[in-house]
Amino acid sequence: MYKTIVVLIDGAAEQDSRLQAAALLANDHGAHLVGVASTGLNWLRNAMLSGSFGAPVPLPEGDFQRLRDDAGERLEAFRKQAARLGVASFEAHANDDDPAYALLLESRYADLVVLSRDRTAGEASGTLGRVAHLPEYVALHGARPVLVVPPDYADAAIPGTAVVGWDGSMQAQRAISAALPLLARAASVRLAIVNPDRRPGMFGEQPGADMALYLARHGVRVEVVCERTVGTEGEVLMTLARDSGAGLLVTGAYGHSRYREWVLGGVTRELLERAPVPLLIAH
Amino acid sequence: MSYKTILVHVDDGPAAQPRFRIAADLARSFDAHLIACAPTGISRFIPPDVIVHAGTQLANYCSAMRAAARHSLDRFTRIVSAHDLPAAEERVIDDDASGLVLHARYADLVVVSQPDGALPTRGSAGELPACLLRESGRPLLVVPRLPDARSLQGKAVVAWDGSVEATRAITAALPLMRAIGSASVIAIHRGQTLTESAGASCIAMVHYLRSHGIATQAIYRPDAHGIGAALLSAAGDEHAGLLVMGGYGHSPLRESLFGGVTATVLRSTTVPVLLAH
Repeated sequence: MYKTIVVLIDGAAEQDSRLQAAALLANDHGAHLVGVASTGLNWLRNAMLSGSFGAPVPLPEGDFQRLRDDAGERLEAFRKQAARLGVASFEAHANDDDPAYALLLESRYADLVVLSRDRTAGEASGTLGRVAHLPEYVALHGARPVLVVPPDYADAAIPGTAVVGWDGSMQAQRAISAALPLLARAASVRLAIVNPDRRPGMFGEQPGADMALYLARHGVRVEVVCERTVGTEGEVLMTLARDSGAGLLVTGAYGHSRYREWVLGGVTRELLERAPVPLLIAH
Repeated sequence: MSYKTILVHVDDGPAAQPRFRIAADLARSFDAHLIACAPTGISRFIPPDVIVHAGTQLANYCSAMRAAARHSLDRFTRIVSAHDLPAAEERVIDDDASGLVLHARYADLVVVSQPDGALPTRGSAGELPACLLRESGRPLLVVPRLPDARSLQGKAVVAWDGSVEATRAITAALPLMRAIGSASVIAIHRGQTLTESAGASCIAMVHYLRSHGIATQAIYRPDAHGIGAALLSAAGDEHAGLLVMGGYGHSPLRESLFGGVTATVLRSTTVPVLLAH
């Protein structure tokens, strides 16, 4: 059950869509919504004190206060918008940490973290965050599932219909377990297995039958879809999501190793960069 | 989330009876499908025709091992037949620990017994918790060899150290903690004082558990005689019916050289332990 949902408040352009999704879920699940805004001051101070070459040009003292004021304003805007979106229970947390670190800490006391899809390479981030791939970082280093929201998300139902990528891995199992509160209320769930023959020993004669049974016992309306393709698994999942009018994609998160991604499939860079619908990942 | 598929390890050991009863009780409370797995110990990598054709001795040996597994499943059925359960699913499976790992993948909870310190650990039930935790990624409920009446009735004691493993254990234990109704989050501190951040983290976890409908309080203990000992003594003081902790958080090498908190707790606990990794 989702009782506490954490959402990043960074003032970026994608914040609106992210907050829409977080508010929708908070309302659907009766969850408390926590907006988290970071100034990054601790990192800045440490970098300057240690004389790091990577530190930005030192800011005059007044600018430290400006960073704090910015965070305060963002959180005030969050409070107003959460109220407008009808969220019953919410609070705002400001901190001086690096945003990735702050999210990891806060995620311990929450059931779900809502972030935006990565910007494409080359676009500057609006914050002091040093972490390039925030959703993956939080999923890999924390114990909570991350919902990655596309910037064009408006107010579609989550999940509606869900597409779940299943490859027999521990990570995919964790993503599925974490997604159960969503999968149980989905109109239908398509358990998608791509190229089962590439993983001998992982699947029995009926790929997906065991997992479908496990899910059915949790009250999930599940149907197994087996796809064989020469394209990428990410492509298959995205096409399936589009064709089913899905409101949610669920997969395991593996980290950057190209070899592991090729062998194990699962969440690939392309899903994290291009999934057209909200994507739930866990590690 | 609830437990809808529970897997229980079936063997002939003396610790089996309390384990079977607790597994059956859980299956009934949560209206879960119970799967009883009896490993034969026969490697799943031996092709079946080798067993048949390789000569009478191997074939006899394997069929004796299968019969033993079958026999322990019959004993399981006798012991749990008093519970008001739809028939548990019984499986004779290949291998031992690694066979269980495969089947555990599709379970919400895996029930095993506290390892017997007197037994050699290599390749036996002594290694089961560590192997299952690391390889299956599923939560484990370790049932003491001699559980007392408070098992799963008394409050839950949650060992909290901010780690990913502890967070996972807490998530996995939520349905059980809700059923029990009350919990204590314990922070164990080095030396005399609790740091402010450790204290704040403990309180934050208390709030998290309360948000899930569990009446929770924070308690603090020093690690005077080691973290494992502190946890066990707190569990005693709190009249605990369940201990929740992250399992084997350190590297296997470090654990085998220096011992680990998990090993200490599992060796001496009289309270069921829910572990996750």
